[in-house]
Amino acid sequence: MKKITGIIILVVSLFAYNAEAKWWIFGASPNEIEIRYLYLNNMSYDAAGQKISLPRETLQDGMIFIKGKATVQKGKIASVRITTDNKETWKDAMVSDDGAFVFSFKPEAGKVYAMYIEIMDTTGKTNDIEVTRKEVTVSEQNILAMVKNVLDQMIEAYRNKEAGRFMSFVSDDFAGDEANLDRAIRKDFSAFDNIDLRYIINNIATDPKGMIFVSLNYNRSLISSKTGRLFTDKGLTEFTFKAGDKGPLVFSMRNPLIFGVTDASNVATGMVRQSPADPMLIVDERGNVAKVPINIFEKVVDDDNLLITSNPDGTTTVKSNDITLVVNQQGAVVSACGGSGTVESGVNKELVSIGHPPYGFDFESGDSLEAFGDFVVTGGETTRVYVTLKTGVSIKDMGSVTLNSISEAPQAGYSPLSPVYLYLGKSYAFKLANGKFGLLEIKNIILPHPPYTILKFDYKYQPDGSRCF
Amino acid sequence: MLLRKRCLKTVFLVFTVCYYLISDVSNVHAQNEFRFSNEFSVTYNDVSGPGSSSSTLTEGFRFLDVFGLYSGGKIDQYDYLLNIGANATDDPRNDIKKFSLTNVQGRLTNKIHTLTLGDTFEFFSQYALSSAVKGASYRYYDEPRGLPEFTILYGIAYPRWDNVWKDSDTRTIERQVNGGRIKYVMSPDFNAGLSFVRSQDYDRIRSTDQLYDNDVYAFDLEYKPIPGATILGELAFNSMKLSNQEGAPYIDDSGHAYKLTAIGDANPSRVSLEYERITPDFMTLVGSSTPDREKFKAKWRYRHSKTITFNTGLLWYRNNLQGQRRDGRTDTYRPEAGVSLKGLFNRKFSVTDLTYKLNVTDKNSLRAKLDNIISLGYRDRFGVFDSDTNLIFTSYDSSTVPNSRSKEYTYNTSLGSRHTLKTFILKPTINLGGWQSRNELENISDRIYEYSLGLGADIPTYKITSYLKVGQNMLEKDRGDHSQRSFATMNIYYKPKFLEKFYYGMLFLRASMNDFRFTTGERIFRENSITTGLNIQL
Repeated sequence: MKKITGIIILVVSLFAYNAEAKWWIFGASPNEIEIRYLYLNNMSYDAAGQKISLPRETLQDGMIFIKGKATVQKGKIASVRITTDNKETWKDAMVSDDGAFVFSFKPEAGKVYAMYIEIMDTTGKTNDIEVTRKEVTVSEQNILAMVKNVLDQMIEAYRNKEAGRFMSFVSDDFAGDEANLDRAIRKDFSAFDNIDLRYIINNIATDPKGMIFVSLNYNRSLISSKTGRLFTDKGLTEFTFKAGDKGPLVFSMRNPLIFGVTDASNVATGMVRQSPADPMLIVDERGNVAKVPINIFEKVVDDDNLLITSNPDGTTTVKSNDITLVVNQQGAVVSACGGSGTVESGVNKELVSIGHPPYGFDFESGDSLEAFGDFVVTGGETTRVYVTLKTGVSIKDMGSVTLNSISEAPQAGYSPLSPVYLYLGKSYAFKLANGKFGLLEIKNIILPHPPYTILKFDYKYQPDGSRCF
Repeated sequence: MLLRKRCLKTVFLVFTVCYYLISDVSNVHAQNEFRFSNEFSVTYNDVSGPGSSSSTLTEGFRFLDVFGLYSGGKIDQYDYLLNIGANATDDPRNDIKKFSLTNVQGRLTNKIHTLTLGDTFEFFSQYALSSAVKGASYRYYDEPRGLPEFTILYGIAYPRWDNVWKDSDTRTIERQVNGGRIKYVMSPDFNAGLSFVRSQDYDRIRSTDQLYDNDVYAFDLEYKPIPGATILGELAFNSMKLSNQEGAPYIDDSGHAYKLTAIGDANPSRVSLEYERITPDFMTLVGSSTPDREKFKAKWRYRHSKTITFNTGLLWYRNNLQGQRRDGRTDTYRPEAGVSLKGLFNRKFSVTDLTYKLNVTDKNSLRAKLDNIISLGYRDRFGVFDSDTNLIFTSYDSSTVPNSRSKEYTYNTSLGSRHTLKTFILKPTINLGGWQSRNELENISDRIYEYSLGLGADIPTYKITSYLKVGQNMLEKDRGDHSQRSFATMNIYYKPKFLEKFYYGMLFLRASMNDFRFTTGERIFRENSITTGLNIQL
């Protein structure tokens, strides 16, 4: 990568040290009069297309401003004139000694302004006027209507699988990268059939420089071309648009995505917390679809290695770097392994060996009880505690490992013998009376005066009956 | 509780400003503008069939009202802007809330001091802040005196206003955001900015919700060394505390990100080079970034002549920047090249686009994926017919488990025309499309066919526009369910005379029918929907 950094530094150096090295122009002869920079409101005049449509709401004081700076190799800039009516009349811009100029006018909505800029130096030479032509109109549409119009057209292009048309609504500097989004929507088109998207905007805000923030609720239905199965979901997502000469263009999108879902880890730049949290569609890089609970969605959506496979019984297996789980068609978890969202856990829990019986711990509720629970602490030393198990509960020593390193409770080897010593720094697997499994890690043992024992521990409990953690 | 009061105060302030501005019309009438817009619609949905639970429509009569109020103008030396919007609906598929504010924004400025209240969106920089908050911001910028631009912001990054009142149906984590930015325009060719954004999460909804405390410090610059050239850069650091779930202690973490872009833009070429590096632990909660990425991008667009334009590009990125991934490093290369030709074969209206895209993924230096995409598009006019045809060939070859190798062919064509018959303008269209995928390893094929006929009919004298479309889509699979959807849509828009007294007024009628058929009988359903409404602007 150092090579690439080097190339960039070289390019920057070229810009900085050789001001005439416009190597990218490829043969175009530079004019003697040069425009160093030129803006129409906050928009780069050069980067804007030939036809510019501006929403009236975004105009500062309802005005259009043209600001620029012209330079000439010999002499000075004498005048800058601008026409807004296709060269019929010309008006002078205000010009400073250093060639900076500014021009403003109050446009009427709906009228087309054919603009040219003429810059003349003290020798009478002018710039190439024809290349400065722009057609500017001011739209009456409010921002909400403009954004809705763009979203409607994007949805129509997405539904009709028109990649080129869809990408015409995406900004060149799209945060998730244009090339990634282009490839992702093409994969979406292969993966889905009969795409339907409906939405309602629930929040819109603009910044003074033409950025537009949009939050919307969507309803989605699609048929997976891999399985032929119809999927639906709904959610809340966010877009940022950049107002430009062609209207608002998408600058960034957050998860859950409605476009480019087959490459969410690259296309989305951020996550929107869902309220309410219904199961959501998740799609792997190959276009396989599953519906998963929202907490699973948040954990796996950015995983490059996500793999979804359909099972003959109608369930779907979702495998990521950290989680493997099986979900049904409604998005409920049937079974899970490896940090599944169904696993309940707690840290820094405490039991005290006081009372008759002493305080007990109940895995199912995660509470320390003034009752027996699944086990009680009856005494202890600096490195171990003496524990009595409830009838029907059995235990297995997992050794000096942390809870997070245990992805599955053992199937066999549990001992119902009680009381038993549990050692500081070790973890234990519990097979509970309800047939489910729990894990425990001994974090600390405190022996205060008068003599009793305080046990500090972390735990995990798998309520779905599996041994997966 | 305290925060909710603060937010309510903010809203109260916005409305107070609004009331003051609107009620003081006698002073400002001539300089001010008020716009009111409202779209009211009633929908009737009918869903039938054994698989009707799969429909996304809510049965029966439902209404939707979208309201907006815009006011802008001048009071003494201050320009003001006020935007208020709301939705009302009884369709939970539209919104779980029957009534919701969509936007409340007030802005007051004299070009030096700018105060924004309510929906506040200040785009500091990509990494620092690119989300809106419900709150307030203040900006100071005295351009003629050449002083630095200074912005401060406080608010909550809630996606909707209902979250501010802690509505139980839409409750979400409270993310408080505060920050500031100072930007100095040293010369017209060079400006630089420094931003700080702190975001803090409160109010876990589920025990497994992650809560963050995150500080982002960012520096950005823009430099125009010569005409047509722009250098953009951003460097950001974050310091984060994360609590993974209820009861879990906060874990400290930090990361950094930077991006450097060089753009050369002057006819006939536009070249851009970009390098970005984001460490795995870099987190921005209200900005935009993808962690654990090193990326390089190059694009070149060259207008050879008025009729020929070349486009080329290369994107490379990789993950595992700190060797932290168990599965190792993945490199992705996405080069592409294309040409756009106008007037090919001396045909005045023809536009031809040819592009080739390659997608290569290497896992730990071993080839994992190799995809080729070739697309050809051709638009032209033949007599009274406009045509648009696209052909795309894609081959996927993946050696990661499970292996797959497939070839896809996509084709679609549309033919449209326009005819004037007395007061009618008729626009018939025909669309044909297809997709075929062949998995070579499993030896199975899937096919999609779609065709539709459309007819647009406008009557300009009566200000009526309408469009009718009917068609069918079929998915045929070697394995799995076949499906077939027959569809029809009709839209009619009418601007009657009695609505001409409004700034804008339109009546509309939209109807649609979708009939889904599957091999598995219990999944079959049909949905019919008809919507009528009125859209006015004053």
